[in-house]
Amino acid sequence: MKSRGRSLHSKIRPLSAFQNLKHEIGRAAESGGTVHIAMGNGGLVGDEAITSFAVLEAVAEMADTAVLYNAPPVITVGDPTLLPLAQDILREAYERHGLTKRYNTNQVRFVAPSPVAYAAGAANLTATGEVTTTLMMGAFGPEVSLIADASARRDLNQLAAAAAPNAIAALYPATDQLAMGEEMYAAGAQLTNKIRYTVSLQVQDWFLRPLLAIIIGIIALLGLAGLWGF
Amino acid sequence: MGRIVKQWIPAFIAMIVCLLVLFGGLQLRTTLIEWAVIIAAFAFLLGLLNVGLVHLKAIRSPQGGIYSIVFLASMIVSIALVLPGPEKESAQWVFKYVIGPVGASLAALMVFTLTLAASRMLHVRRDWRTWLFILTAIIVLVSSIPLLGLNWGVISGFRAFVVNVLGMAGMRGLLLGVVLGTVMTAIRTLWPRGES
Repeated sequence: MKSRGRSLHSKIRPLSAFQNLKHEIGRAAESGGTVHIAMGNGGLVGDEAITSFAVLEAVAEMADTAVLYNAPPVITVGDPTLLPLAQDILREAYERHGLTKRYNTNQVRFVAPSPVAYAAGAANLTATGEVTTTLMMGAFGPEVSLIADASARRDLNQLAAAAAPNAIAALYPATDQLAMGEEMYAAGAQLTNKIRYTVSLQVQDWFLRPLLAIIIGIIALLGLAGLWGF
Repeated sequence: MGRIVKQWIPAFIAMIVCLLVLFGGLQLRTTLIEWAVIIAAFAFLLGLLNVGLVHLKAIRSPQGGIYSIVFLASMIVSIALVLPGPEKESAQWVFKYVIGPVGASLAALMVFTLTLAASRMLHVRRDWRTWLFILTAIIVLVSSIPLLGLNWGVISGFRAFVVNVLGMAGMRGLLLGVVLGTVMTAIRTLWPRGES
């Protein structure tokens, strides 16, 4: 089963937004800084719940590396329902490595419930803290440009992943390390070799290809029908 | 035994609740969603406590924290004004004269941050995609401005094509992928974690 997992993993297209994440944690550890993970305004209740779960998965997969390097990330959330979950993920990572005493609950911070206020608060943290890298991943709107701008002013490395089209439009000029749309849900497969992620990513691709073929087929048929005057 | 308690029982409860919400009667569904809202309200209190503690710590830090002092003072005043009820005049005053204008100002800032990001992109990434992005943005923006006496026939036609055909097609493709990603993440979340 493991070899199957490896063969699946080898087929995954690398996404720089996630491939560089562990390297950035290492860089933060070397420079005595930290990685700021902005999780956006998604919560557990509402349309953005699954997006938030995808972000939590990514945080869970990178937490061990961050704890081992002694470079714990600062996580900001815009919905308080994510606060205990993100805190629990970090605490568990510390526990796994026998470093429970080093865990600080303030590493996960609730900023504000409204999107623009959240972005302004998270941007302030990026602008003034010991942040060396910003990862913007989650449910955002165009207000994410405030965080991206604060990072750019300090010349910080920016990694981003967003599913909403208006957030993608705001992030595209800010960073070339951007995971767009369904790529955001591939974070687990990109960060780890775990079969649960690689298999689900493959299934996602298997469904996507026939769907795209059907859409292109329908467009072609409609085009031909238009040409023949039907 | 530990694995059953930590992984299978929560997953089983989550699946049962999901099925009840999906296929259960309206009354049951409403009750479960009300429970979720109550838990979310407690989470909000937890969030308020968290933000207060973070700023208290910032005040005590050697760098000081003038912004944290202002923040905590504002928080206390706002709570005092809103506590009598959201429909009271004091609460309405806070929303109308503080939260609204500050939010609008921050939203207006986005125009500048987006423009700056586009100009920075021209410095950092000078490839054909950057030029295409900038050129499209300029044409769409310019053709949206009502300029009297000028006939924008060709440009506005191009704008309509970019927005309604290319933009819409791209967005639909993107959203289809997002839907598939969402479904797979939902299945992964509900499924017990057996690590390999």
